[in-house]
Amino acid sequence: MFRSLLLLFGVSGLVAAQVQAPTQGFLRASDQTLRPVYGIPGAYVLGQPIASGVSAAAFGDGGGEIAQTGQIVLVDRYGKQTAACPTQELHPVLGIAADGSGPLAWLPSTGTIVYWDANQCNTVQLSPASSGQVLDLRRDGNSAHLLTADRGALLDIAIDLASGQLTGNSLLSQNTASAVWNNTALMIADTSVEAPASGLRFERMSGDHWHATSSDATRHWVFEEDGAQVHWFEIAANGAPTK
Amino acid sequence: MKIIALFLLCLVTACAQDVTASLAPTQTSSETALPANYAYPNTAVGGTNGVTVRLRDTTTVPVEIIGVIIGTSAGSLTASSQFTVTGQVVDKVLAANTANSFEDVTVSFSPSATGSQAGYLEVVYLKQQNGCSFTSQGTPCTASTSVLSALSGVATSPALTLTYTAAGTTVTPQANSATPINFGNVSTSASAALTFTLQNNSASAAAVPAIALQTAVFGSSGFVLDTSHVPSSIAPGSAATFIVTFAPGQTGLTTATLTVGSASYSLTGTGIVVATIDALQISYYDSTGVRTSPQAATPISFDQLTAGAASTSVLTFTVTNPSTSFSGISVASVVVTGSGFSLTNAPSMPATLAPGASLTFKLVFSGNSVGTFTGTLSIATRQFALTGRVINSPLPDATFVFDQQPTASQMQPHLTIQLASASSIAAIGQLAMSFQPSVANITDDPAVQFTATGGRALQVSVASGDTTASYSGQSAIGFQTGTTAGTLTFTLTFPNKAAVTQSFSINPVLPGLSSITAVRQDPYLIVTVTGFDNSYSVNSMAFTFADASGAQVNATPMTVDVSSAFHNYFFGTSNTAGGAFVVQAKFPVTGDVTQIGSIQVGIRNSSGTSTTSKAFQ
Repeated sequence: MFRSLLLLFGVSGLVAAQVQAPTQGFLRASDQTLRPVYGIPGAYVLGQPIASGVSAAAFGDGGGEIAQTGQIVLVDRYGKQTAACPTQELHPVLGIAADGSGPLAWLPSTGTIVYWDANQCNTVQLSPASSGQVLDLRRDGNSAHLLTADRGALLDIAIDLASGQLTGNSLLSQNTASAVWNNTALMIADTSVEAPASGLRFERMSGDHWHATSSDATRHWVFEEDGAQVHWFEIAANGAPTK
Repeated sequence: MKIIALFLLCLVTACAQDVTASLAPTQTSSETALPANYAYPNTAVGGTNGVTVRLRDTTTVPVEIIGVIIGTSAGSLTASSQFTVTGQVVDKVLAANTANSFEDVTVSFSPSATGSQAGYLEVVYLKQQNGCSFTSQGTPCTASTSVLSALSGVATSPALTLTYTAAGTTVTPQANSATPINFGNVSTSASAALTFTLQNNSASAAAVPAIALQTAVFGSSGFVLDTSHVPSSIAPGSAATFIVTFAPGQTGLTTATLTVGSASYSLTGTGIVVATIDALQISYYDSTGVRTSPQAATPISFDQLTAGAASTSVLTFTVTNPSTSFSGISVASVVVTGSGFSLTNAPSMPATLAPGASLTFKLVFSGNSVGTFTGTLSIATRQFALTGRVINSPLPDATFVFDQQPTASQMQPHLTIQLASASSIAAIGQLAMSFQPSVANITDDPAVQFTATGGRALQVSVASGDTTASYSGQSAIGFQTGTTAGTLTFTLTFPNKAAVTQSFSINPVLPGLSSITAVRQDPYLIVTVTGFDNSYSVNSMAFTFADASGAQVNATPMTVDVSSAFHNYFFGTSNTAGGAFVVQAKFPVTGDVTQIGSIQVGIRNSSGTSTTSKAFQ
């Protein structure tokens, strides 16, 4: 049975408001600025900075989380600050879901997780302290899952956010140098996903885009997840674009 | 100073030798006693033959050598002019009868006149005996002279003799003489030449020694040497000639030194004013500001140029009438001849320069083919030779190699700068990318950029031995072709090298659709399409819905004119992504939105229509 449809495109002006420059998310450039990424895969244009002094960033489609000197900041999908949490951590690791929910921050110098309830930040210290390097983290209800590299092994360490107690420790892989949580399953660079370089560092740009940086921070890529496929594209993220 | 109380003479044959002489050991012979009569090999006048003589103390007390001379007769302290002694150590003290205590001197036969020559090798020494002292403290020792050997040698005529002809007279110049060969007073508009003759007087071929001109002022001399007719050897009884020309470009004294083998001859000449034009002072500055007063004998040399680099070398000339002149000097013309040379900024001619006044002009060398260029600058009757050289750059030619031809939008190819061969030098150049849209009223596409920097210019480098140029250690240089139709041009430039340029056309194409999302948000269906239109000409969209079973809902596609919306976006001031776009359509639905299963979207531009479809989530 046919359903009737009323096409709004017949209303003058409405279509014009709905054509705009595509954005692929936000990334942290090598000059520690946060910049929007315009364009389409393979034809990226890095926008003007919207924040500076950014040491880490993680964005989903609905918003993101950035680390600046002295604070962890929540921002909306347009990059506008909505909440802040003070911290002295210099090298935090941020994690966020594809839709921008569940922002988390790992503070390695104190072994502390920062988590948010609405715009209120909370902290919990791990007990016992975690060894190894946290590569990524994601929230699952009242738990945080830390993707941790420890002596060559890749572990999923589950933490109860209320108590900081370890609730699970799963071996995911061995001999992995870098990895990141993706939307459907664990993505491990260098092995299951063919990466353009080894030792990449990942930061989520949007729901299905990640910013990958080489170990010497001179080369940058965007990889996008399209179902089961991953596509890599180069991007100029060394700083202000010049002509 | 030695105080000599007594002077004793001891001839070789008359008394025991306190000091003995031997021929010092060589690589092929051991030390042997110097014979009482030593004959040198025949030696040509002006030549030299030497031996190393070793002096030893054969007494039981120390001996101090005061001097070694070659006397004209036995016991004479008058030095012979046919022999020389070199290498003496002042007041050398020899230990008594000690094997490793000796003094070596070089005794040479250096005849200045032909025939048999004789001399006497003599040593003057002090002997520390009876409490005497070598110093001024105490009783001074007595000096003695010993004749060590009678020397002889036959001086022969030199194989080659040098003469020149002046005013019809043949002159044999004296080598190393303080008296110069004088070219006399010569007008700055003129020149004077002497022809030198090298005559082989021997019965066998004689190798010609090196003939050169040493000038006082580096790079510009009033003297010039022409040895173009001098062979490498001269047959017995034959001769060869060379010419030295004095061509002063300035007034005043000019000197130089002519060397023929080890012999040197001073040259002198004076530039003078004969005609009034001769008084003009002429100088030029090069690009570094160095000022030179040119001489007519020395070509004015321009900076070396590299073929293909489209560069020039410019010299700025100043012609001045000295302030001490009594009157003005008329300059009839300034003319430059010779391919590759040109005159610029010259004043109107003829020109009259008052005392103290100057005129200036520029000489430009712009040869663009490999080779040597010559010309002449004539300032009235004052003439100066010009020379310039163009070489090939040592950097090999370069070409662009692309892993994908950049002839479409939304590409990320890589280019490699490939050299024709391994470079013998290091070099730094620039790779630039430019883009000219073919879409009317569009001036640029920000997505056209090098992916390393986001810009359009990179500094590339070549190290010695490299076969490619690289940026930041990478030889594969990535770039984006953007999302606008137009012409993409790459230009590679290195210093002193012709630029390499290559262009590609990116033609208008159908809309490129990257992604589509279809979402149910009761009571709406929201469709979002992302893609690009490199001709900025999207004019309509068509929507076809299907139900959950896949059956088409609308009989014909729902077509909407979106030309205004897209035009306002593409050509508006807020466009930051070139031809890339995202368009969202929102459809209110009456009824159960879950009954709508999927949508097909067609987007049409001036090249045609692209379609994509998606199931609703």
